[in-house]
Amino acid sequence: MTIQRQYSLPNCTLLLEGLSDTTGSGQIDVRPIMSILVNAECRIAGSPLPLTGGREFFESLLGAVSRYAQEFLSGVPHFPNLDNVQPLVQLRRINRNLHRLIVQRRGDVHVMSNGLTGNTASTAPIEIDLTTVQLFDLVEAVDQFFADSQTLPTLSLQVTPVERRYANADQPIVKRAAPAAIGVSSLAVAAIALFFVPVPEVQKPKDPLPRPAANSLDTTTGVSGQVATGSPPRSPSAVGSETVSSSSIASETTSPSSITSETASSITTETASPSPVVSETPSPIASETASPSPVASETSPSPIASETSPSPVASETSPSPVASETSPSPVASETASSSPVALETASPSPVSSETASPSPVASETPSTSPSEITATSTTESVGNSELSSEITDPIALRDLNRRLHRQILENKQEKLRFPRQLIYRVAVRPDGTVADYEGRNQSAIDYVNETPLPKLKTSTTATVSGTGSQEPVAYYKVVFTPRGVPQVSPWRGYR
Amino acid sequence: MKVSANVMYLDSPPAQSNPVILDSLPVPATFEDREMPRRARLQIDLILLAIEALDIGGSEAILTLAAELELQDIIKNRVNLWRLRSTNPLRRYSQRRSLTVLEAKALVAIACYLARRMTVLIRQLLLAYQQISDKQLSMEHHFRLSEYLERFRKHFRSRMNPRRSGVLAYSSDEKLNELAISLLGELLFCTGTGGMQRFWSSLFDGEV
Repeated sequence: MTIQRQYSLPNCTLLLEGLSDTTGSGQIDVRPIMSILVNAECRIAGSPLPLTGGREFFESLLGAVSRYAQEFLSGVPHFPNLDNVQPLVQLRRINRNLHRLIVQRRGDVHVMSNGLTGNTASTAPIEIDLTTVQLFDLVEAVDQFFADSQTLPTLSLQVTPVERRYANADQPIVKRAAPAAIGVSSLAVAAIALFFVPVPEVQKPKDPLPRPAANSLDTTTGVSGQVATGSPPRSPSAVGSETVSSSSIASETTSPSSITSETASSITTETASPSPVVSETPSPIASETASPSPVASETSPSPIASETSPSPVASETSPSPVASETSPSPVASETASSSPVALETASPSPVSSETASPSPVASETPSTSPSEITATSTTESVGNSELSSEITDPIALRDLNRRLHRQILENKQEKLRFPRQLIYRVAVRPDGTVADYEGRNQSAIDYVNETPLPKLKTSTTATVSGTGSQEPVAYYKVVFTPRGVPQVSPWRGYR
Repeated sequence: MKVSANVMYLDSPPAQSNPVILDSLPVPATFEDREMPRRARLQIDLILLAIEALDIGGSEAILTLAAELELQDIIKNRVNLWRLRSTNPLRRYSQRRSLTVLEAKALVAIACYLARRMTVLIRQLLLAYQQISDKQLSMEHHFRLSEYLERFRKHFRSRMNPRRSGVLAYSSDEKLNELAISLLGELLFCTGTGGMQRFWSSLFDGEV
């Protein structure tokens, strides 16, 4: 007995033909149970060809439709139990509203032909595009079949949620990798961008190079100034070697201007240039001058400077000042020993005057070089005044102490008040004038302008400009109490 | 002898006024005593939102149906319903408490019953959308559809927290329309014979 069951929906009709397993009971049911499926036919509206097949096709259709319905609802893909064989029926999503039903032409799938195309037509799978409503009708037909307990009762609706491990494939790998890729690439871009940013250079403190613009009038001052402020790297041998060549230059050129220009050029070109000037005057005793110059100390020439300094006119002065000033100065930075040697070389002013080879040069140099030296040396003497000679005679100390105290008292303002005491170290020349001073604590530096010290210094240095640190000084400790009372005592006490 | 059984889905058995219906919804073993997953809470609320957009008296209908289905022990009143739906993480006043399995079942049952009542409307709208998009027309050409979309957008924007990234994804009208249409499709599936089981099961997809 053939049983036919039809589940029809507006867009889809599912027609099943089967047999009843009529064993025994002869009574005829109104709706006998269909337990054997002979043929299944699925007609979809709009598709001319009905899909027909046997039980294999029908079960594949049920599985595909049921899974795809869940996939549609949750958005999580449901995969069939993969067993290498491509399922007969598949459903794929094309877009939100289109779904493609794919049926393979194999197994027990029969495609009804309209007579135009033969059964042997092709092996290409049948593809039917369904809208959402059509898909729902297909699903609904399947569900009604599932719900029908009189038709193939062994098949029933079974939906199970997908496991988490399958859901991870929800997002495509590209989408999941995007954040990491963006992070890495942005780091790379930043690295490339920063690669082109120059590394900030460490600025080394520059050597006080010759500043010809400052006083371009005479190069010797520039030279001496440069040397006095100290460019130690000059090697003594270089100095020695240069003496000869530069002396020859000096001898060649007669006019001072040309010499200055010459030396100026030599300054810029070669750093060893100062030495020529040094050696110019005592060219006969070049052997002598060469030897002390590398070892001459700053301290040694100070007495000579005091001798020469009072004569600012310098036109008449023989090249001796040149010798005295310049010879020590190139080596000013170098410490040391041979002060007697330097004195020797400096003192032979008659010798140099005898030779007197570049007298024009000499006339120029003394006029400015002393001031330059004082300028530089005074700044230095504040810090390391040990370098200039010190008056240690107790009688002179006591005398100077009194004079200094009196000067301060005479020049100080009526009422002085300080938050705490001010301590200064003051250098006093033999004539009682203030050579220099320095604050020894912070308040001393802060309130220095209220003390008479700046006035004393400026008033006295003007007259004795020039020699500065070269003359011996006595050091005193000047303390202003918070009430403004000055106290003066020798820095090292009375020996 | 051929026996033809012509079963229309509209002839599905009438609503059983019995909370026993909830037993037809199997709970995955791992969710026996747990709360509903995040996506499920979101999905349930959105489906109800779509129902409200379809039927202007949707929220009233939910309460009425809850009483009909004898689910009033679970969904007691309007405030209670609001609190249940506010377990949606995208809600403006999202609740810290989650949704229990029983509460979720009740909401799913109500949603599916309401959807079934609106089967015809849902089908019409989906067909209209299909035709309109085939002709590349705008949604305004179908009055009923544009009304639904407009109302859905309004509901969504007034109730969802605009600062949440999940809501920011639906900032434009087009995005919201897409969401509304896709919810309409899901509602259609809820109307089916096995719709409730299918919808319920889909809530746990990828969570077990």
